[in-house]
Order: sequence, then C-alpha cells, then structure tokens
Amino acid sequence: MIEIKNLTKSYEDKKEVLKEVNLTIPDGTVFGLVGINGAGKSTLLRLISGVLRGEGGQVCVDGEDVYENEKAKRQMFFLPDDPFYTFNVSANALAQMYQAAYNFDEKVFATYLDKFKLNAKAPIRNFSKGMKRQVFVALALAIAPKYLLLDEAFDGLDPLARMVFKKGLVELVEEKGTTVIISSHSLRELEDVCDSYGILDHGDITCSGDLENDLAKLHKFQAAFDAEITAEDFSFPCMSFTKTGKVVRLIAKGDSGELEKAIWEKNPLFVEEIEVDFEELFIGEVESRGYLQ
Amino acid sequence: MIKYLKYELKKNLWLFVLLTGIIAIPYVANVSTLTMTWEYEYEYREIVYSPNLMFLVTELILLTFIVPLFTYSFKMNKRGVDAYYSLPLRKEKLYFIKTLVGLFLILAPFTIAYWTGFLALLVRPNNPYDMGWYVPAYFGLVVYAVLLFGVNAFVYTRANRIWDGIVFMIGYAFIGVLGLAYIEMVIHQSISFYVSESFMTFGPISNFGRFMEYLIRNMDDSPQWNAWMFVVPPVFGVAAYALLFYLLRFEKGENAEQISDTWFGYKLLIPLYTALIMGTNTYGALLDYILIIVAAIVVTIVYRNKFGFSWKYWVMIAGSIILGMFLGLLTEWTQPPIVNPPEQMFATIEALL
Repeated sequence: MIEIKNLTKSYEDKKEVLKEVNLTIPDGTVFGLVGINGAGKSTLLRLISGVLRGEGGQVCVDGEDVYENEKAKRQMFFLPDDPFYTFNVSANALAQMYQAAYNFDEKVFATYLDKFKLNAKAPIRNFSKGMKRQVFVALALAIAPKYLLLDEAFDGLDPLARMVFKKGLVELVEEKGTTVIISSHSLRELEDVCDSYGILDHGDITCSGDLENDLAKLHKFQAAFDAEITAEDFSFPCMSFTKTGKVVRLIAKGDSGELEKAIWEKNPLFVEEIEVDFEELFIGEVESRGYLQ
Repeated sequence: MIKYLKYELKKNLWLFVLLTGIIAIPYVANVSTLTMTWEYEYEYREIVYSPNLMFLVTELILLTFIVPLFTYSFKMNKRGVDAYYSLPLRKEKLYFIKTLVGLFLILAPFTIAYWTGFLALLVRPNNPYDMGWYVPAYFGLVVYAVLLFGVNAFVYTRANRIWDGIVFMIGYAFIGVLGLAYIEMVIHQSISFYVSESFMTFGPISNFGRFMEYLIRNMDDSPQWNAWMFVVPPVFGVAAYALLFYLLRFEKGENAEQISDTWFGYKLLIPLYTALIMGTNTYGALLDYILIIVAAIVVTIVYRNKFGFSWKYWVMIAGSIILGMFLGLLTEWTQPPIVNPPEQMFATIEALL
C-alpha cells in the first residue's frame, strides 16, 4: 500500500507545487492521477518513486519511507514522461541497466519488443517518440514491479500499442497484483484501465475515489427545449451545462430519477439519460473549481 | 551493488578502449622511437634525453579532468536524475560505483600505456635509463591521480550544468596559485615555482612526474621537491572525497539543469577571484579596479542567466570588492620604500665629485 501523508514540495523559485497532500492507494489498484498542466502530477510521481524528497510529510510504501530506501524502491519502477537513454544505447543495452537493479524477465521483454515490432539492437535515438515509449513500456512490463508508476503513460503510443500496453497492464495487475499509478491526459484510456482516481489541483488531491462509483453518482442528460433555458433555471446545480440550438446537455450529481423529474418540470420536448465518462467527470470537477469558465 | 558495478563497467568498456587507444598508442610510439642519448664528441660526454614520462603524466592529468564529465554528468540532466535516482540504490552506493568506474577509466588506460611504454623502452638496446624508478613512479602517479580525481569529482559535482562543472574544475585548479601569488607580493619574497605548483590542483602530480623523470634519467640536477607536494594533495584529495559523499544527503534531484548556485561553486569562486585579482593588482589603480568589478558583475549575470539578481548577490560582489580593496591596500602598505633612480644617480655623481 502506498500512503502519502501531509506531503509538501517546493522548488528553488519558492513555488509550492504540493501542499500537504494526503492519499492512500491500496494494493492491486490501478490509480489514475489526473490534473491540468502544471498541477504537480509529475512531481508527485517523482516523490513517490524517491527521485525527489519533500520538504514535509512522507511517502510510505508498505509502511516504510521510500526516500533512499533500497528495499522499498526495489519494488517500484518509475517510467517518466521523458525517459533517459544514452546516445548510442539499444533496447537490449538499456535492459541490461535494469537487469542489474531489478528482477527482470528477459522473455517478457523480448515478447513485448516483438509485439511492438522493435529492433532490440538498433540505437534508441533513431526511434520515433512512440517507439521509444514502447521500449520503456516493454521494460516496465518485464520488470513487473509491485508498484508501477507511469507518467504520461500513453503519450506517443499508437492505438495498437496502447491496446497492447493496456492488456499488459491488466495482466500484470491480475497475475502479480501490481499497483499501478498512471498519470495521463488521455482520460478515455485511463477509464479503460483505472479502478480509482485522484484529481490534483493547486497542489492538493481535491477529489479521489472509486472511478466506477463516482461515475455512477453523476448523471448526464440530453434534452431539447423550445424556450430559452440556462443552467440556473434548474432546481439542482449543474456540474456541466452546454447548449447547441435547442439541445441541452447537462451533468449533475444526485438521484437519476429526481434529476430527470426536475428536467421534465421545465417542459422539454424530450429527455434522455446518456452515459458519463471519466473525461466528463474530470471536466465537470475542474469547471466546478472555476477553470474553463 | 556488485551486479550494478559490473553493469557500469561493461557499459563503459567502449570508453575504456577508446581512452586506452588515445593515450597508449601515441605514448608507446613516442618512447619506441625517441632518441635516448647524444654523444657530445669534444667533451666525451653523453647526454641522456627525457624518456617523455611527462607526456603520459599530462595525459593522466587530462583524464582526471575529462572522466568526471562521463561519470557524473547524469546528475546534470533531468532525465538522468529520473533514471538513476529512482533505481533501488542509495545515492552513496550509486556515487561510489560511479567513482570506482571513474577511477577505472583513468587508471586502467594509464596502467596499460605506462607498462607497455616501459616494456617498449626496456627492449631497446643501449638503454641509458634507470628503469627501476618506473616502479615507484607508477605507484606515486596512481596515488596522485586518485587524489586529483577526488578533487575534480567533488568540484564538478557541485555544478548543476556541465559547463558550470568545467568552469569549476578550471577555477579551482588555479585559485590556490593566485592566493600564493598574493602572499608573495605581501611578504616580498619569491616563492619557489615548485611550491606554487603544489597549490594548483594538478601541480603536485606534474611536479612528481618531473621529479621521477629526472631520477629515471640519472640526472644530478633533479628539480626541487618540496613538502607541500606531499602534504597538499592528500589533504585536499581526502577532504574532497569525504565532502563528495557527505554532501549527497543534501543533494536535490530537482536541481539538475538549474543555475549552479551551490556554495562551493560561483558563490565562492567569484568573490575569491575578485578579491585576489584586486589584491594583486596594486599598480593598475582605478581603471583596473573598475574592470575587475565589471567582470565580477558580468560573470554573476552570466551564471545567474538574468540581469537582475537579488540583494544577496550584490552583497556577495560588494563584499568581495571590499575584501579586494583591503588586500590591495595591505599590499601597498607592505611595499618597501621605492628609491628614485634619478635621485640615486645624482647622489652618486655628487659623491664622486
């Protein structure tokens, strides 16, 4: 289990990136870490992986502080948004570095390189951004750590590679019980693999929980009105409200039946409930905090 | 840890081969073909030429400056920090491994070049050299190289950017000799070149190499050796290694690629150079002082990468100017009275008349 207790992090320019963050990520979960650009997602992942040290608070893995803790870090693999490789290194040569530090399954690595159709002996610098990402995805899956930290996990991957990666992650969680923390702006991809999430905003986790439960608490309706209508006309607060001609789409929290009844009170031409996705949950949350207005 | 050390050594094998080739081939070619003696016919005297050991010593010195760039530059790159600091290795172990690899990259090519050159000389007919001195010379040079690498490794790792690290290594190499030059001016006594050299980071190894070369040549007029060349390198070398590892606990991963604002970097070098250059520059007066002050401000702007900087840096510059002026005044006060040559000449003429 990963426990983050009152974690604070500032940089030299006095910018406070994280302010007393508290978060618990149980074992075996796939946690989606989301937030707007500059929210501190990468900093939080670097703190969890022990690359950085917070000015205050703690990051504990299985009850032990992770910073400068070899035992805790051996159970963890951090894949940053822009991973490191030297000038002439190949995928095979890069794998040797991780073989020296982790329990590394060469067969799994070779299998994924094969799936991604990558030349293991070619210099990585000649690969495209997505291909480089594929090499590191293969490394992460071959290390199969207890805790896997992925920053901008799907960045640069083509749809096929994303599918292979997501399948690999699901297998890892099912077979090894790996806990995965993924930061990404591809919320549709996160929704496919994550079972819990946290929204990082202004240096704090402002919203977190079980993804399925929280999505079930939100209801999205599509309705058409002859008369002009605004979000304020409804008797419930709208998390999101968009209008295209006569058609209105709104998202709100509460009981589905009660919300639909309240919409019918405004004499719509029709009302239908449609499914809410993670992206809409995220946008609804950040809009309710004053962004994107 | 052993597994990771093996990996690092394997990773750097190409560099070891390259460095060995670069230093061994020219040195061995040189000693295989050099003219060893010259018969001075009229006095029936034989002159023994240098075995060019200093050629190899110079290469060894260069290695101690170049290898830190290969060994520790990962910490000056955000991606490198992410990769290395997330590994399940404590920073002390990681830097210990990197230091061992650095020493390997210096000592292994040197050792191969040294003993190959030794054999190349040994098999040459009519060899006039006292080849026995090559054994203590080797061990002495190895010790000096280990100590010098420690100093350069410590100084280089104070930087957050590669160029800053290079500037620090060069800056620290000469600061001691500048300090000594100032002392020389104040006490009005010439300090031996060999003593001054001991206060350059790479001076003692150079001095030792030259000393051993004279012994190998069986020369009577061997260069001076002094106690400083045996005292200064161990003191600074051991202190540098100790500080390199001790200060790791304050190392911040987020500083990679940032301004090198550590206390052992520009914050120490700029005031020291400013004060000492001002102190040793007593004859230039105002214009020279202005130029030195402008240079200190420009260097601070360049390293801070911005025109405006906080009051702390102005205090740093002002403090070094005040110190420099004080040192300059001290030099002036301790000057012996200058005898005016024309006056002396007239006095002599008058006395004659």
